[in-house]
Amino acid sequence: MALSTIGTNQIASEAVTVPKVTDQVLSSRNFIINGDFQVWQRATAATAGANNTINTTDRWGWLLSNDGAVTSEQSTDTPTGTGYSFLAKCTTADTSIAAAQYASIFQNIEAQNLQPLGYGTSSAKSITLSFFVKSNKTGTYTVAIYKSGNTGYIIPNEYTISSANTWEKKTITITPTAGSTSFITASAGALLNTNALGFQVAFGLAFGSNFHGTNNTWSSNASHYSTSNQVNWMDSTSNNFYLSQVQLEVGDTATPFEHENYGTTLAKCQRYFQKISGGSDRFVYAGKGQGSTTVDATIPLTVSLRASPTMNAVNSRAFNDAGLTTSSSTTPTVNNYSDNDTHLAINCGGFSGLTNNEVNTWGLSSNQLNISAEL
Amino acid sequence: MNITSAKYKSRSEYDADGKVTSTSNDAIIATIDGKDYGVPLDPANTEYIEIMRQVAAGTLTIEDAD
Repeated sequence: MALSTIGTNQIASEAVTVPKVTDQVLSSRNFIINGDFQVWQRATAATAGANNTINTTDRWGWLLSNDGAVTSEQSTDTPTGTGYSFLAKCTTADTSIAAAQYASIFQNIEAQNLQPLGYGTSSAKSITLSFFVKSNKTGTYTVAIYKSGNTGYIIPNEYTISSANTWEKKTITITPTAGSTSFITASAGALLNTNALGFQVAFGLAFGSNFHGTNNTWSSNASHYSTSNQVNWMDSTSNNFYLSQVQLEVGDTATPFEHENYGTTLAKCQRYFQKISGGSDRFVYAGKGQGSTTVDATIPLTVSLRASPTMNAVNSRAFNDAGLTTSSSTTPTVNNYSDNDTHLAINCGGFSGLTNNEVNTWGLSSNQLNISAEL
Repeated sequence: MNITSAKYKSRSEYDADGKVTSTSNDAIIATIDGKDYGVPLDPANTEYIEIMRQVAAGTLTIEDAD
């Protein structure tokens, strides 16, 4: 048959299945951002800090409360087809995890991005999580999905690292009625259709008994991040844990990992975090005096932020055309930001000698300005 | 996140003569994990949510602005 004569009528509908569709189509199916750990805006290696913080690769952070210590870093040890992986190392051991202690790597997903799941209805869809993992410590691990919203539900799922120091691909499908539950298909299972938290995906490394639920069973106890079978990965400073190609998608099939070009992933990450390098007035922004000690300025954004952001303390300077230069170490704050704005209006105090409404420029004299709208 | 202090920051508006016409709180300066941050009064901001959660729990007090 000539190629030109092959149309829809010549292809049986059941002949086209997801596994036959390459990853060049069906784009934007991965709810995880930076699942291949290409973007590291903050740092490529750091000791994990306080609980619920992100300090190395974009969108991924630590849930931490234990007597040990961990680091995360960018690694070039990867499965085929990926440039980097996320490498966690235990640097101070905790051989006995107490009931209320834990260590976990997480990503928070914005609720409005999860609307295709249909949660909160009888038509709620299954989801499939796939990832590559590698560790020197074999055994049972867990990964949990916490569903936020008016009512929070959580489901822990076990998987096994079978061979030490070997990349293994894991696939976990979670149905809306897992464990014969009806939480997700009832109205309370609905996800908000807003910029608030929708899912938290949490890869467990250690969880005390307060967090133990039942494998593959939705729970209304939002602490059930894990099960009693989870290994204590924190038990030795020899332990490492690599993660790569994390994908969460609709349906009961894991499709090939959806590779994106760097710019696409970076832009997705910048909805939650952007930075401006400081130093010697490298970047200055148009502004005006707001009274005699503060400046209003406007910073262009690379993409719109999820929400009005938190900003760190910086050293900054203001200039005007009369030759005034005045310095400040006061923390800038948001003066105005609305959903989908492409500019950020900031206010910074601590200056002197300004004139109200007089044109000024404002910029960083040192430090890096971190603009964070993380979930 | 470990929030050890929080204090409102105020913003003043001025008339054409440079006199203050109004002043209101427009942010919180918070010490989080040992560093100072400017936190907007936005109920969608993660740090603001956590500050207000701790205030409601009685474990954090937001100081008045200067």
